[in-house]
Amino acid sequence: MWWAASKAREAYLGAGCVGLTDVQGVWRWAEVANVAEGLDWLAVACAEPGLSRRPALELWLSGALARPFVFSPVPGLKGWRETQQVARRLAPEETGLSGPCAVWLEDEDPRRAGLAVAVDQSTLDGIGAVLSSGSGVRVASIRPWWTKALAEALGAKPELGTLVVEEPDSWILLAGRAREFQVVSACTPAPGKEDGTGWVRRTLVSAGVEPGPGMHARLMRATGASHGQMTTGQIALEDCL
Amino acid sequence: MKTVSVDFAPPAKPSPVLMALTMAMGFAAIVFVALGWRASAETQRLHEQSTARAALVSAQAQQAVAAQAAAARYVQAPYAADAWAALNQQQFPLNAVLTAIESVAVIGVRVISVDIVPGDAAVRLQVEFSDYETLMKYMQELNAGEPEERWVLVNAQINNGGALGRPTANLLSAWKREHNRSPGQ
Repeated sequence: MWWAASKAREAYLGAGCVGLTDVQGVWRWAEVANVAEGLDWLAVACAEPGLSRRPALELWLSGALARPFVFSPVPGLKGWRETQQVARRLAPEETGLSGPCAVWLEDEDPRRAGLAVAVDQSTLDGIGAVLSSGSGVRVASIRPWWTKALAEALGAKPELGTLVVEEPDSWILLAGRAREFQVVSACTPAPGKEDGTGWVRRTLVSAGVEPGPGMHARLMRATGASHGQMTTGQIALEDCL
Repeated sequence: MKTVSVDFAPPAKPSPVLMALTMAMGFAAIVFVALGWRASAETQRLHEQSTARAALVSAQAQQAVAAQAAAARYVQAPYAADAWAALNQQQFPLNAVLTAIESVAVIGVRVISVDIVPGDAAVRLQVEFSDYETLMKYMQELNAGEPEERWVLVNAQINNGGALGRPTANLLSAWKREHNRSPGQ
């Protein structure tokens, strides 16, 4: 079914695992040693001879690769260009990523604190080189998976105050009130359940944030799981805190 | 908290085919706009010409109406008849008349009198003649070279009691004036 093959597919890229949906939307997972190996796996898995149109790919990045932080106001900045430059300079220190980073800013106004997300520039370059240029895959989007979990959690609980996103290579903590983020943090590699719970509590206490109605979101991975109540690639949400 | 729309994907580059198609359509649009502007300018020019022509025709018609109205409003002065008579007399071809009469001489015909009436543009000639044949010959000589028969015989009298008792005849000719017609004639 050539028209099904041309439909956009989803992929997940993490520091130690990678996943891809087939034409029917069923996820397939694999363990990899690093990001480069994961990209190679995706390139091979996406290659389908005989297609006349480049397949589109919606790529989700794990919390270890796309890390959030709060960008605080910096006095004296003029315009969005300077704000971007300062955010890129601060990103490695704030997130623990090494090397130059690409930064997405929620708010370009330097006078207001807002959410920022940093990705190692080498990761983005690798995606472009291996997938877009190398395999002819049309990368339609590159988004953090935890943003998908956040959207689903807010859909389930609009008054959500605290969200912990558990992925194979990281835990992401998001806490806030109204429509603002007060605490965002990434813990990588992924801690165990006890260690992770302790990390969440310590982070919230040190930030002086009272934990609000909270949820715990977990990426489901189980190769070959059938359609049903819980399928692979979906998010398992449970109340916590 | 709120949902966030984070995306690190670079903006999609348009395909070369799409770029070429867009540029071709843009060029075609520019050409069509230029042609349309040119047609509009030409239409405007023709409209202006038509308007100018219509204005000219209207102005000429108005002038003709004004002239007719002026002519209709003309009221003759009391001395108009005398003035026109004097003017017509001035324009009467007296020399041509006298030359025409003096240049014709036929034995047997003698001019008795010449009566010139400039107001009627007519000349009456009274002659004595010996016989009708001689008279006809005299009239042919008078009308020689004329595109139309200018001199006509009004009457001829055999027993009119002339000086020598010879028959007399009256000839009439019309001489057109080329200028100075009074209004209403």
